Amino acid sequence: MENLDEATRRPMRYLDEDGVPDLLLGLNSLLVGVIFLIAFLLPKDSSIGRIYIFAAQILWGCCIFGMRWGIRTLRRKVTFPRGGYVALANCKVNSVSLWAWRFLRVAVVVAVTLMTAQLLMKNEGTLQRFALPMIAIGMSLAMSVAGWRYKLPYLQWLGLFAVCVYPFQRGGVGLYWMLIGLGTVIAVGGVVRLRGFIASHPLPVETA
Amino acid sequence: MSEVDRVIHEPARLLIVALLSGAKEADFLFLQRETNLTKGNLSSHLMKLEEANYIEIEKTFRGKIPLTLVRLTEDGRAAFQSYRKTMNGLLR
Repeated sequence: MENLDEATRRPMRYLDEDGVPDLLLGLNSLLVGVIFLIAFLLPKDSSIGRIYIFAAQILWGCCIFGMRWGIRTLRRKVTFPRGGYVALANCKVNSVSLWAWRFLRVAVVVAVTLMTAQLLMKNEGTLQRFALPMIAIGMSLAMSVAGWRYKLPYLQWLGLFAVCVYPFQRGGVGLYWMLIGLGTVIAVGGVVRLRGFIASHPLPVETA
Repeated sequence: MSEVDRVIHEPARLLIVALLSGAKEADFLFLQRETNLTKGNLSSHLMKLEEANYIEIEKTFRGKIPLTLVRLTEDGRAAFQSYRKTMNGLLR
């Protein structure tokens, strides 16, 4: 029976093998960090600064939709021709990993919204006291749970890292650097796993 | 002793049904890689499952490459659940 359980989980494990979600999630996090770091560094009172903050919101939205499109495209071009196509059944509500990823997305959205609010209103006190610890804990929890669920120890290390760097953050700018740092590490991890997947799954003869 | 479903009881077919129960749909290549069966062997097992109305097979194209999509039917899902229940009862 244990083997049957393992077999039913194989489609989900297979989709996690290629590292594509990690790569796109990392790139997304890196881009968002860079976009909002630039917004933070630009003079707030200048017209360029104001226009950029508005443009940053659009870029941020493009990153989110681009991530979904990127995952689908990379899988269609790289993963499925090598290892076969599989679509997961609709996830059950009690799936721990699903909730962890939802939580991570909500945490990132909340983070960026708060950062933007901070940029616009310059209300750093509230942000530093309440929002940043919540964001750091939220990101850490999401990565730890996802790491445990998918048996990816590096995600758990990143979760620990997210909490540890919190005390060293200086207002919003620390969070942007954290997004850039974490994004880079996650994206590099994704590239390494994607390379491993390509090496272990050569194209079948008839499609090569 | 409760009757065991002979269609699903065969190890290769049981693995195919178990794999499909965790997915909405999968293609022939995925099933072949995961089961390590030859094309002919996998085809014959899929045919038997299709005859029992446990799976549905859709033949389509991805560009110019033929694509065979396989899905577990409601009957197939129910049969798999019932098989697991029966086996759990026998092993207890």
